[in-house]
Parts: sequence; C-alpha cells; structure tokens
Amino acid sequence: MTTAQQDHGTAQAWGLGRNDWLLIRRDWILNRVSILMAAFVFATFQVLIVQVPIDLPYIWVFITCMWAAFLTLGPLGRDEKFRGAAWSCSLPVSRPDLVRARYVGAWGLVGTAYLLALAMAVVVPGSKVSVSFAIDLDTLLVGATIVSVILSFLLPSVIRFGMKGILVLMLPLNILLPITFVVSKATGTQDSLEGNFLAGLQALALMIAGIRDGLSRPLFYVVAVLLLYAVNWASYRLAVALFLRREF
Amino acid sequence: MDSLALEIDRVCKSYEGFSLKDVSFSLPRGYIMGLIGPNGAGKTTLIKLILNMVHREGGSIRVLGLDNLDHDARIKSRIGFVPDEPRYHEDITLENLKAATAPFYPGWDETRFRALVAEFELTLSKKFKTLSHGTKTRFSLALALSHGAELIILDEPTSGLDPVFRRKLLDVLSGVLQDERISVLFSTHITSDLERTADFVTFLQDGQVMFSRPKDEVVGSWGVVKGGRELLDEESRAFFEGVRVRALGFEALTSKIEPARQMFGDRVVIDQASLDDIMVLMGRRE
Repeated sequence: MTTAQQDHGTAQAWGLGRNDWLLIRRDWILNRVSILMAAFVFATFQVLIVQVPIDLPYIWVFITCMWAAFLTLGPLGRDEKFRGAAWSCSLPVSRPDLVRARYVGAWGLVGTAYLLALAMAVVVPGSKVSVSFAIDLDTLLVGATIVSVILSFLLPSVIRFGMKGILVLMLPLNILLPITFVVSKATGTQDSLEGNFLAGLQALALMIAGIRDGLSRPLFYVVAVLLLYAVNWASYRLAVALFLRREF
Repeated sequence: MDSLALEIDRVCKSYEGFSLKDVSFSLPRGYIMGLIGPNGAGKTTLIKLILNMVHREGGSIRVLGLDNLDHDARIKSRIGFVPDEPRYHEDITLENLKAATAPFYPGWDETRFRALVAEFELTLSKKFKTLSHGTKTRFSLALALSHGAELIILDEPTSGLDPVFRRKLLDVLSGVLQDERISVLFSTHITSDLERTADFVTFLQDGQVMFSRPKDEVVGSWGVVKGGRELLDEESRAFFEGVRVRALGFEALTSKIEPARQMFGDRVVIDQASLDDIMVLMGRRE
C-alpha cells in the first residue's frame, strides 16, 4: 500500500465522498432485481415470524438482524459471479473507496431490511412484535451489535477471498468446535466446558449491565455506539488492507 | 504538461513460471503504440500493472506524468480501457451498464456515446449476456471513448472481431487521434492491425522488451533472409536474430541486411520483414 493510498483511506475513513455514493448507486443499478427479490422473501418470512408467539422477544431481533446482515452477501456474490471486480478496479476510484462503499451499502441494506421488518410488525394482523419494542434503544443496540459482529467478520473475508471467504471464516469453527466437543467428551470435561461457556456469556452480560447501571443512560448509549463504530472501523481497515493485496 | 503519455521504467513482476523483467519503454502524447508479442509474452500483465490491477515488484510507471500508484483514481479518470474479454454483470442491459459507469467520469460525453452506439450498431435495451464477443468489445470501446480519455488502452481488442468491424475499429482509432492530446496503447498479436495505425511498436517476448521503436524504423530495418538449408552454419547464423528451418530451406530474421546480402549474394532472397515476420522469427533458434 502506498502512502497516498493510506492517506486517502484514512482521510476518508467514514466521511462519504462523491465516489462512495456513485459506487452505492452503481451497486443498486446492478443488483436491484436480486435485492428486491431477496427483500420479498425476507418480508414474507417476517409476515410469518411476527405472528409466532415467542417468549424471548430478542429472538425476533436476532433472527431479523442476522438475516438482514446476510442479505449483504447478495451483491458481493453477484459481483463475484460476473467477475466484476476487475471492472470495479478499472473505474476512477481508489480501492479504499470500493471497500467503504461495500460497508456503507451493507449497513444501508441492513437498515432498510430492519425498516421492512418493522413495517411487517405494524401491518401484519396478529403481530406479536410491538413497535415500541422494535424501536426501543436497547433493541436497536442489540440488533446493531449482532449486525456489527457478523459484518465485521464476513465482509473482510469475502472482500479478500470472495464467497469462499465464508468457508475460510467457517472452516476453523467447523474444525475447532467438533474437536473441542470430542476432547471434552473424552476427558469428561464437557459439563464444565459448557458451564464455563455459559458462565462466560453471563459474565459478559453482567459486565454490560454493570456498565449500563454505572453510567447514565445517554452516556451508555454513546459509549456503546462508539464501541460499535470502532469495531466496524477496525473491520473496514482490515478489509482495505486485505483488498489492497488482491490482484485481478 | 508532460510530453509522455506513458513512461514505464524497469518494471518487474513475477509469477510462477513467468516474469516481466526490467520492462522499459515510453509513449509520447498523441501517438499510437502497438504492443505486440506472442501469447504469454506479458502484454496483459503489463496492462494490468499500468492500471494497478496487479502489483509491481520493481520499477516505476508514470501515466500522463503521474505515478500510477500515488494517483490511481485520478489517472483512471483519464484512461479509457478495453479489456481482452469485457466483463460486466451479464443480466443487465447496456443502458443500465452505461448508467452505472458514466457518472464516475467528469468528462462523460453523452452525445459522443450515442453517436458511437449508432456507429457500432449497439442496441442499448439488450442484456449484456445476449451479445457476441465482438459486440461486447464494441460496447466496451464505446464506453472507453466517451469520457474524454487522454490515454486509450486496448488489450487485444480485435481478437474475435469480424474483419468488417476490425476495419471500423481501426478507422475509429485513427479518427480519435485527430485530437492530438490522445494516445493509444494497443496490445495485439494481429500485427496487420498495426500496419495501418501504429506510430510506435513495442515487442514483448518472454517478459522482456525486445525493442520499442517507431514503426517505420522497425519495418525498414529488418529483413527476412530465405535460402537453402545448406547455407546454415555457425558463421551464417551469426547474422541472424532468429531462424526457422523448413523442409526445403530456412527463413531468418536479420538487422544486418547489407552484410547478409554481400555474404550470401544470389543464393538467398532478402525481403523487407513485416511485423508478423519479426514477431514469429525473433529469438527463434532451430
């Protein structure tokens, strides 16, 4: 990466310029049919899921946000299918521009999908998802966290390795988890492993609750949003570094 | 304003089994340069290096006076590029592909684009996947020529084109150069395309520049020697830059036309070498 490219990438880290909007507009023109089809399937699913009585309302947030995050793979997959990366790289935009547009486009898509889910919750008769819950700051924060975690891992690996990047991402998990399971079963530590995992999750939840109680509500949300921003920014910088290494 | 459209200095790039070695040449503004060489010589790699699509390992590339890495986006707005195999989203119409591309270029000229669409007989409502290879190239060329590019880079644009459109393409290129700000780098292995259009010729072979000179100088300074096989020995081979032996005789490339004439006299025929002869014979040892 040259100094100029680094400077460009840093200076425009998230301040969107003309090129970013042009790239997002271009993605919309090239992918709108597939995006609209995916949105139709997503909306149909929402019609069903908002009617299901679920004891844990966050399950709806989890499923909705996870699905919305994976919707962003559509344009990336089509770009790979048609080998459009070389065309993209011949346009008068920098590689950091291309990556940034992917991130912003992904969040735009997720946001639109969430609004669509919200609309379904409002208009579908017998919906069990209340609007007040769906737009509650805690709910939105949980949703944004789920999306941030997924996109932060997904986008760098797909931008660098293409759709097989998902395999690159999932392969270690698919190897490590069974090995851990077999070893813990063989050594008789399975129960304590599961216990430790759950205890870890509980500790994390308690820690977040502690921070929330320790801070005023507005400050907590500001800190949380800044943390999520930092996670996304770090992921974006990683994706830029990986994309700069790619050759076409 | 820099007088060179393209300045390539000791550029290196290695892949497994192939490398570009210290490639250097320059293209003055307002001229057409033919980049010739057999398949696998490194022409496409060199073009990708110019466009920063692959990473160079050494040397420097200046496009329109600017370093191609430091001014990547700025340079690309002034380049019109036609790849060897145009790739766009297949299920999108040409109209939409144009709409997705045009706003990136401040100098986009819609009138010029419409004129080229008519000249190249393109139907904008058609989807890209329905086009033949030749029509895809025409569309790509129409995009490349519609944004006021100062350097046009064409990677094997005539391969797969019918003779009628090949001629039309060459005429369009000649017309483009009425504007003396515009330069063209034209990679091809169909050397006859260059005989009507190119001002300079750069010959790449096995990743190395064999020569980069004005076309007329190249064509005038090489000869093809044809004679019987019995004339080939160590002494005669020293005159030749490449030799092809056939059943009834040999063909050899030489830049020492007069000394060869004096040595062989009437026993051989010496013709002026075409670019094709040079490409086929140079470096060949049989």
